[in-house]
Amino acid sequence: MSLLLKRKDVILTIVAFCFSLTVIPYFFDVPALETYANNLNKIVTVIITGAFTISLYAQTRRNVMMIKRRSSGWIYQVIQLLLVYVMISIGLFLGQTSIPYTWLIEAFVMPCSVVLYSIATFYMISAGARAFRARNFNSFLFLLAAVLVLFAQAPMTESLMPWPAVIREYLGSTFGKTVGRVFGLGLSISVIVLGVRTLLGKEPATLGIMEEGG
Amino acid sequence: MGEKEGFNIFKAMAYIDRKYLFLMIFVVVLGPILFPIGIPIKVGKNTRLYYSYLDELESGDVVYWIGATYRSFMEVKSGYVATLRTIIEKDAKLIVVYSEGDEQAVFQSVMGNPDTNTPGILTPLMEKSDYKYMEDYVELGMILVGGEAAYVSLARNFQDFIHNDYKGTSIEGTFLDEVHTAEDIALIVHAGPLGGIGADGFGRHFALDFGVPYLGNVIGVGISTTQAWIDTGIVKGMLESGRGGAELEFLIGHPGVGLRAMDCMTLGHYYFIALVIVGNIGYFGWERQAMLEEKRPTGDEQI
Repeated sequence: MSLLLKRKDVILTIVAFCFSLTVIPYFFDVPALETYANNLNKIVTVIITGAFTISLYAQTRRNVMMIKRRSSGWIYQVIQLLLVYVMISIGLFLGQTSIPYTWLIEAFVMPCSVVLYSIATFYMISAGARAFRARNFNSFLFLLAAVLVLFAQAPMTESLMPWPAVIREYLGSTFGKTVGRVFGLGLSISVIVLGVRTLLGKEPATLGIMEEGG
Repeated sequence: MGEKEGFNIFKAMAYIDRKYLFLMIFVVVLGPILFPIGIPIKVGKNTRLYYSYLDELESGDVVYWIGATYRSFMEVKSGYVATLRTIIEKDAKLIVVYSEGDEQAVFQSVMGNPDTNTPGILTPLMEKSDYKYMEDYVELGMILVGGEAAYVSLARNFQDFIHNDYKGTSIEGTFLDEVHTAEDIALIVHAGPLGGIGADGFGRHFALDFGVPYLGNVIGVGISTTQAWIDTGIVKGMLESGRGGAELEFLIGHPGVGLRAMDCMTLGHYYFIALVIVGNIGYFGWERQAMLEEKRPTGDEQI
């Protein structure tokens, strides 16, 4: 049985079936099919959520190895493991709405999330002072646009003079939007191409198919 | 022994010591918080558009509130609180949905937790307006983890799929009895996405299919992508990061953390621009020359 499920054609058949089951209800109103599609989506969601346990296992194993070896910064791995398992235990046994769980969110998760985001400030400041150089005409244009947009973005600027907002509006509605749309289109087309290639069996890595075993 | 190089102003500008850079950013950010300046701001077009949809809400209208994680909350807090304040004052009903675990903690930090009697930022207003859980707002929990199936269920067949709130309490007998499809929804507010909005589930299944107005309280990096969706009409308005939130606070007449942060935002922007200009002056005055001299072959090498 396991050999059968490892066959490339079997895997592709399953993929094509699941794809059809999920996509067809978008175009044809078939209530029975929609029920199966919804159930399939729920199953997939549960599996994806369950995959977090694999990442938990991998992270735990890595941390334990670092602690055993007393690698540089091993004490932080101890703290991390402690917090992760305390939080999981409290969440599982006391519930996510319990006071200890909420306290952990507000005492650890919230401040760390804020710091992670804020820490980018120092990188940006350093980059602004040291890396943003007009080494050629193209980079000069890029810097000029960035400086003008930043200047217009500062709240006080618009209340003092109108022209920076006009320039910002122009740059945003022409170049900014165009690039954004090109990026979005490119991303969408790549996703479609990857999907088609997967269905045709040309992306074995995506399906976990080993080329030698087929 | 080499000659001691004298002080070169351009070299100093090109290589400003990082500790002074970081010290200045602390001064620029903390200074206005400790000693507010009151720099004026102007309300932008996007904020006015956003506010116009909030202003049209009537008592009993149902609004979907999509949660924000802590990562985005710190940037969009002012708009988050101001929008909820407006919704409460309009006596509109809220259906609160999440996709990540900490979004609930964020929401309850603003609206409080009635089970544990933990107050939130807007608890005084909620008490004054008699805005209560299960009567005026319901948290459905991390329902968006269901992906496409979740959006389709919420948009087209609410009653068949949603029976309880996040605690498992039945929602029968609440205002949700009147919600069947997206047609029963007056507004959707994405309270703090980590990128842009428009192409997500609510954009596709609510705004595009049913024409439900969709607003976003977006962080800085999501502004340009969301603007494209505003042009298509799928997204009706957005608050542009912290500045948009401050503008909304100004519009609704409830100054808060957003307006207070505008002094820091103005000075921070000008500081960054100054650093870029000073760095480039140093580059052209010294660094570029030094790089060219380094590449130029010396007389000794030619012999």
